[in-house]
Amino acid sequence: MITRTLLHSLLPALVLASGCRDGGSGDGTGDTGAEEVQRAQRGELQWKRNAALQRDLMRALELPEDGVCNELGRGSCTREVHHIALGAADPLRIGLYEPLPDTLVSTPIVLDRVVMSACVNRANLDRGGAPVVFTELDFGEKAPAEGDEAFTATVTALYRRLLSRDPEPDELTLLGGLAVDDAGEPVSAHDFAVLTCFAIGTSSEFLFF
Amino acid sequence: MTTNIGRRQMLLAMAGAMGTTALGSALGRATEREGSTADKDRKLLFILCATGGASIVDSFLPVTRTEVDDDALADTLNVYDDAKIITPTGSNIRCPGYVEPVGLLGNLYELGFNLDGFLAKHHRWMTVLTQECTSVNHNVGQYRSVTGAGINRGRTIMEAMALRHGEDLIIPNCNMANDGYIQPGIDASLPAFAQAEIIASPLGFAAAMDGVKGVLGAPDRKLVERARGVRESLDDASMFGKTFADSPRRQRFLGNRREVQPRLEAAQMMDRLTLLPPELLDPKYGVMSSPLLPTLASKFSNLLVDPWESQAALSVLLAYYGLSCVSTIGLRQEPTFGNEKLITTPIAFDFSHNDHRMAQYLMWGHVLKAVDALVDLLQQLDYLGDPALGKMWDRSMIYVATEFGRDKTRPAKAESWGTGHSLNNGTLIVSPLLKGNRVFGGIEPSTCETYGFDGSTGEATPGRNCSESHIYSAIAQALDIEFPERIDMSALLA
Repeated sequence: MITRTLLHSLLPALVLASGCRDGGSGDGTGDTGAEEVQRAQRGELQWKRNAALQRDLMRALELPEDGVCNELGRGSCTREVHHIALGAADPLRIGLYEPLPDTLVSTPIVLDRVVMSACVNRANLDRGGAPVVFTELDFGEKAPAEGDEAFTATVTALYRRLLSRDPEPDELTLLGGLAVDDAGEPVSAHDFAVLTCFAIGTSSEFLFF
Repeated sequence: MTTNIGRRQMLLAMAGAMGTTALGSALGRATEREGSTADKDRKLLFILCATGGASIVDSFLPVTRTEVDDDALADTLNVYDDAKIITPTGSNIRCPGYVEPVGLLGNLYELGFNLDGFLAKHHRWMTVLTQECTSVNHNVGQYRSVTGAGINRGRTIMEAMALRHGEDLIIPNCNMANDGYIQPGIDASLPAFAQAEIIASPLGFAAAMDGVKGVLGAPDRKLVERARGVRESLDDASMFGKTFADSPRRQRFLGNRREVQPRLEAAQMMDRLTLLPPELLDPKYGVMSSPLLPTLASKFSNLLVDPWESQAALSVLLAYYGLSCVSTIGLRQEPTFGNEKLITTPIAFDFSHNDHRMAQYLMWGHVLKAVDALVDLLQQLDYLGDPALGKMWDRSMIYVATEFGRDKTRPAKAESWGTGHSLNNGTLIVSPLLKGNRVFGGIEPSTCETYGFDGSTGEATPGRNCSESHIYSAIAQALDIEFPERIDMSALLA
């Protein structure tokens, strides 16, 4: 029984792991081999809830606990203001002894706020002092163009920090769209840092496991 | 049901396709558009959870000493001196007058709202229903008070309400209460949209309506939208996204992010729902107070410190702006301070264990103060800001839910005493949708126990019991919620 339970638990991870590399599709054509990935039939994803979300952002972006998100200066987003939408229990205040099984309508919105805030805080710290995450960016300049060394290094660093993997070539291509605005003009390096961090940090891959 | 879901999905898709939303156009709008058929027919339900056991015998079904007809027996029952009972002019309902704070803790409290003043003002909308509930366990009693002890396939009345009236709304079922009042029903077939949005921080909830506004240093919104677009592409193209494309949990999350979030942000809900006054909003965040805050604050003067009032205020905004059709609010366990003294007891009505009469009077006053404010506001505001839709009050019901009653006895001649939980009780509903100024059922003076009534005729009969399922059915019938097991309560309808 234990073996069976273990197998069921590990199956999606094994399927995912088996599809992580498709034998050299790094030609930049956008073919990641993902079509060959078999869909997980049970799809039993776990939700990274408030405390884990906070800790992962602290670890990935090397932020202090109070440096992740403070809602309008009135309290921690993850522990005080939006904790229920982020999957926490609240036994003392509202008698919610077990966290909600599924995300709420407001969950994606709140996740946007939390990750955006954390990314802005990290970018501000890196701009104002010795950079920790955005080490290859010159904050006084425009964003590096897709394909530049600084571009690839920045995106790769974020993928490794937030998703514990390297970006696929087509993902690098997609994120190249964040180096410019709607008119095709380069954005600032600061905006590029924040937007790239936000796009990766609010992906379902970061929130579920 | 299939039809309903289809319609909701169609509306969501249309909203996305138009780059705006039914909600967005319906808001800022006041008279920008006529209400839809759904808007015109929609009912609104406000559930006020009187946590801890609100006793009907200590509010709108009191017994006087002389009615007991036996002085010695009266000394041992929870009865009131005849002079203490007030029946306002025109009212068929009565209540205790001012209860002097007595007992060890009497001087700790500040009595701010009298029951008789409420009764004089609102008796025409008040319906009292007797009931015999089925549990004296707090959590179980709370849960059954909103599920009718499971009469409707295990759906809470909030879920049933959302299904019936909320298919076009973004968050039709908002629940700010606690304990058993926030437990979901057990009907696995319930569509996700009808499930409750749990709100623990009403003062902070507005921020959950916009993913960017008020986040200091966030890039320009156009750039954020660009990043969101890239994110969606990444999510669809990634190995993770393809592997778990069928995950219900992920689908639900992405569905809300892709369909609902744009509607809320387009409607600028954050500014509309913000209950913080300008002096508490640092201008650097660029967030505005709700345009209705002055109106709300005139009725809920403690909303910044009293969660009960902030919940009630938010419930008005959620309904007014067309976000929800049912809001549930609940008394917190911790006491609330007024100017110098406590305005609520610790553990709400359950402080009756220590000091029954004081706790009941204080807490009933606190509950009714919010009901009074709600009625005033709902009578003042046009639904969705559209005069053509009439006042919100015309379509509203306020249900004061509680888990059970309290013991009816006391130590002989005691003026301050504690009570345990009792199955026997009654319920207060305030609404123009029911026959008001009426008590359905009755009370036996020699025991202070209530007895039930026939829902189809309204006839009260000693020995008859009405349960949670009767209350649920009465609410459902008045709100056009149909289900096969519904008990006929047509005698109560206005």
